[in-house]
Amino acid sequence: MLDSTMILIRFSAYGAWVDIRNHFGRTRLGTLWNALGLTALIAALGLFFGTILKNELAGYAAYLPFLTAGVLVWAFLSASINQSCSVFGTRAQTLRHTAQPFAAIPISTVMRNLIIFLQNTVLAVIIYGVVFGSFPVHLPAFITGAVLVAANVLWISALAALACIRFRDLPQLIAGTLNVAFFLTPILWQEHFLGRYAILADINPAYHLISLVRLPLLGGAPTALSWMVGLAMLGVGSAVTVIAYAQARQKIPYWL
Amino acid sequence: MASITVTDASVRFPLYDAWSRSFKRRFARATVGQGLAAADGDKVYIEALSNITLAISAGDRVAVLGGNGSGKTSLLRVLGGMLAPTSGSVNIDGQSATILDTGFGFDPSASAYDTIVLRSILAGKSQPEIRSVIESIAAFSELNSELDSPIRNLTPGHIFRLGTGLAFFLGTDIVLYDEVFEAGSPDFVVKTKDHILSDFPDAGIVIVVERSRAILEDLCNKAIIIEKGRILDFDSFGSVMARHGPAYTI
Repeated sequence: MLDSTMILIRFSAYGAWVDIRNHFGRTRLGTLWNALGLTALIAALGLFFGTILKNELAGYAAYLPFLTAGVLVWAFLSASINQSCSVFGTRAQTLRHTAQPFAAIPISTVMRNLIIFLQNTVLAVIIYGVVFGSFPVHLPAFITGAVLVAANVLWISALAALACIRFRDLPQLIAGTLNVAFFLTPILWQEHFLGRYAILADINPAYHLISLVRLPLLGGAPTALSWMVGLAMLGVGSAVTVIAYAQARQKIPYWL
Repeated sequence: MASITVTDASVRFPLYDAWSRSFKRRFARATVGQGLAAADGDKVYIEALSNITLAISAGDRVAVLGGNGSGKTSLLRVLGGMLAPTSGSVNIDGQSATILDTGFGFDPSASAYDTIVLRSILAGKSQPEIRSVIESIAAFSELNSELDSPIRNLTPGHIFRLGTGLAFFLGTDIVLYDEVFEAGSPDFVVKTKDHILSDFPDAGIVIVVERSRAILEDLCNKAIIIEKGRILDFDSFGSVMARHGPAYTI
């Protein structure tokens, strides 16, 4: 079992690297294009929402890092899940004619987006350090939080990939849900805006996943509740995903 | 030693319409229940294979012959372990590589080099072994600069060379060809046949879907005739050719 797990990880990792090379290989800036796109988004959102919400915020210096960290994690999460929804369909011809582990496809997708997320995060930290003269990152908490978030994104993406190859209206449903979730999660706005409705953040799993990475990036540490939610999601979600793949493995070629 | 045993296997492909593919409809049925219940009769199936029973042993070189849409490719996918039968069973002992068709089975955006690395990883090769595999495939398949090209830019002949190289140098016990010899150049087809006859493990299995009698005569000791998803004949190559040769080979 360890051998087949290592083969799965190596195959997925090399597949992710090939995807990145194929996607960005012939561009002048490579994966930095992704960082540029996010920078433009953050600048536009920061300027707009920082201005209209200025009475509720402590200032741009506090809001922009908060917004940046949230957008970076959300970009990783939503890109992984959205891309996984179509990944079996786009590779159907290959999958029909080779015996390869199906789970490797969404795992590759998440790994690819994880590499890009880490690149963007390092760049953001460097820019923050240059602008504000310090690097407040709580590195141990960031690493453990990022690992937990990545593991959760992994099972969610794998399950989404499986469900979407069976039910062809699910990709649209998932994309729509993620769009709504973006606005309902404290990314553009801070959780203290909720006032006495703070529980709406506490019951939002996306809020906890984002907090696991955002707070360490801003020099803090995630709450015990966020850790518990992240670990509980991982435990239940990964078990459901493993069972789903075991049950569906022989049916997937008939769904392609 | 490689072996393939198929017992009463059938393959039925469901033809999904929009309703069958709808999560919304499935969810509504699960919650509303009776009002939206649908009988299994509204599903349409294609019976690709029906009650297939056969045993292929170590050392067999099997020709699979049949008309268009007879189930040859579905049979190959079952024998190669890519498709589990909807009923019955298949037991495969050995590692299979499939060359189903030129271009299929390879990611068109990956380079030939990356394809070799990925397939080698799947075969459990270490980094030094992968380097050795790449050298062996490049030498046998006579692919040099083509290794850096994406699969979509390679000719069917190059893909045939790549797939054959992968089959021969990844420790594969079971090789399956699906009407790809016509894509190969004559000298490479001869090279492939010679390799199968002399260097491919005696205990391995080769299964070939091909219409050229000349190619099959050199390679195969057994033959299967399949029509409408059922096996019409399975016997020694000579016997099957005597009974059915003109109808299924050129």
